[in-house]
Amino acid sequence: MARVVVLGGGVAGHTAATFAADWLGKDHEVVVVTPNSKWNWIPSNIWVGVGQMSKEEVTFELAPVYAKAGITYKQAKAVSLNPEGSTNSDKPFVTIEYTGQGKAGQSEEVTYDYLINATGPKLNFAATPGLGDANGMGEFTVSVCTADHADHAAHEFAKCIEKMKKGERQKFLIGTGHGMCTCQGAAFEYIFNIEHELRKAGVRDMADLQWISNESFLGDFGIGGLHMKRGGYAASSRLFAESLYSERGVKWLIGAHVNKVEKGKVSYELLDGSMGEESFDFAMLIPPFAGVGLKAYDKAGEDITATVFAPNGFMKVDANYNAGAYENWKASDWPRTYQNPTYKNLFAAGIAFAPPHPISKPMTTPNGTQIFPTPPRTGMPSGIIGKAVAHSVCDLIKKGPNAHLHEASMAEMGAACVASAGKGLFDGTAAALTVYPVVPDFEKYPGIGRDLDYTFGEIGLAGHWIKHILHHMFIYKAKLNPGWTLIPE
Amino acid sequence: MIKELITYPDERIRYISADIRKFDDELFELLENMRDTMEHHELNAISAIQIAMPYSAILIKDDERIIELINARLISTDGSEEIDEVNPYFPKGFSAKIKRYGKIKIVFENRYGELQHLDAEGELSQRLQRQIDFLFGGTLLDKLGKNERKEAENILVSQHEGVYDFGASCPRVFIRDYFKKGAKYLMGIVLLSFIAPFVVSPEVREMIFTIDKIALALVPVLMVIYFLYAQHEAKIYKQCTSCQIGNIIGTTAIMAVQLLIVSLGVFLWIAP
Repeated sequence: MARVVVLGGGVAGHTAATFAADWLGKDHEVVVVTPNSKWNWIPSNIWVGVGQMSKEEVTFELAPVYAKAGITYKQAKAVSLNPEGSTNSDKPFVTIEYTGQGKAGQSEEVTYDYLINATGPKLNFAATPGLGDANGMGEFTVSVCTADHADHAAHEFAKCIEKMKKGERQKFLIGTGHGMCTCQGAAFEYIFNIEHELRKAGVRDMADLQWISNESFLGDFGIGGLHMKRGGYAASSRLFAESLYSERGVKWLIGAHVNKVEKGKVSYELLDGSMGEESFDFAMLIPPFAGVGLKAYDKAGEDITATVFAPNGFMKVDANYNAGAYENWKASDWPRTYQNPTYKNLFAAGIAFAPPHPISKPMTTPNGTQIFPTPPRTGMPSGIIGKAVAHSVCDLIKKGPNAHLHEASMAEMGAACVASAGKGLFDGTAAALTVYPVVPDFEKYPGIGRDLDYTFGEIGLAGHWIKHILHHMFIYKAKLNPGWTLIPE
Repeated sequence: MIKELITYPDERIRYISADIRKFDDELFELLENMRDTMEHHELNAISAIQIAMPYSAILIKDDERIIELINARLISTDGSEEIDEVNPYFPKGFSAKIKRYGKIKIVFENRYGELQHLDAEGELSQRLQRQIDFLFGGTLLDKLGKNERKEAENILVSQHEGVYDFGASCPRVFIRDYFKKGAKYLMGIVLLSFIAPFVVSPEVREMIFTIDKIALALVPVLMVIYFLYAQHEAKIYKQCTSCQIGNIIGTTAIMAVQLLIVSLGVFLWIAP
């Protein structure tokens, strides 16, 4: 009997674990190690963050689902990896520390035959002074990165609405809290949901909305922008975004690295090296992501973290990490199998793998500060990668170590995203966008690197309906309800 | 070398210009061609796409000097002013009132790939915004509201009658819509017959029931033709709208539900 250990129970980890358990059956064991007791449909956190959904609606308990799937569930965080085993045994293992199940604080060594690292990111609030510290988010801003954060944001937002109703003007600052953030799309969706709710509450005229982000053009979204069909030609997301910001009265500031957060004020540096400050009454700033800080040790107990992980803490996989400058970047730099080059029974999926380089154009200020979006890995690519990795691991177990590994390159897959501006079925508008491929392939598609036949967007109410459908469909799938394997990633 | 200048109604102006990744002789040649073309046409600014090269490069005159801006980005703005913009892409004499930011801050690279920045206001700021819009496939028409844009397009079309038709790359009417309309008219006629039981004799009612059945039998035929022809049109005009297949399936499903409801009504209400 082989044991597959999956670290993380987010989109990538949950997808990998559930498919692996389904394909391997009872002959082998699948173990999930995740510090969370609940699964969270993260895209709907936006609606939680404006009080339009409860956090219970976007989460569910993992234990019963894993019990149903025959998956061993350990509510714990991974601390370190020993891919060569220890001096006592050649069996590789991962050291975990329980966060629940009545064993909080206890450590355990879990051996594995194959390990899928899908830990997701550490929300690195500590990267920006005042945005937070090693313990998490600070007191001056809010976030929508987790269901609890979003719930907190909704309460703070409700307080602002009350103040405005009493005649007190409020300023909302929303965007990214560091020069090297990703997830601009989530912040974009949040600011327009805030704007929509303010109008619904009848207090829009009492609010100033300010966007701040590390994008070098509005509508970059961390993927160098995308394109919408219009009259047979592609229109840039910049034109769409600028007209939307202008129409909704949202001021914007981009190419910005937030370098300090204080009560009611952020300090920032712009791409031209100039410094500035922006005040706020309510601020939702996305933190930068980092690896979760797993350590790795060899058989003798020597630290080999730098061999297994990139400096940012994400796991090294079959990517080309020596691509060099922007002009040399190629689609083929991106990983295909997500197998660690040193330890072939280690895989990474979702945000946990180290990308070879960003997608957006890298930019540095005259002061040497890097300001550009880091590559996003949204739900769709994470799910596809998780499933491909699970497939590879199952084949390695069933067919032997020479089995062909399954591939899922982000330079060959598309992604869809829906940016809502409200939740109603009959009011508001949303942008529904697809992009193919996620990572531009400048050799295959000269110029902008994307296939315009599959890269498009539509703006309209239907986007809300799509987002509602995705919410229910993916929670249904994640709960492993009948027919879950038929629902695509 | 002087290159042909793209002017209205050439739709290549809508191409999105790619970021320049290599700062080499090819770029220097592009910049020289842009300079020659700009001087030949006595322009005060030019973007690479205006000579049909979809790359992110701009030349702009500031007093006597010409600034080269590679991969220019507008990162912050201040104020707003309404101007009557004249755009070298459009015919002489054509202008439109649009809003431009008053002060702007842009970052860009020079021909050696070194990051530069520029703060601009007034006329220079307006020109820079116009040229940056070109890089992203935009013209002043994109700055207009829906009604103003329609008005401006009508003026342009009237000036170029017989030469250009907006949206020419996509048909104004899809043939598939005739089949859809046919099915809807038939269902509408059947719906009208629902008043028959109140006003006609049993014999006439029986005749209406027969006509309704024939009409209802024709509706699925039209729906099938619609579905198949629509697939064919979607393949021909795949550049026109982005979600044609979804729309076709949705429209067919809606018509099927309508047909079911009308049919139930005929058999439960009209049938003698």
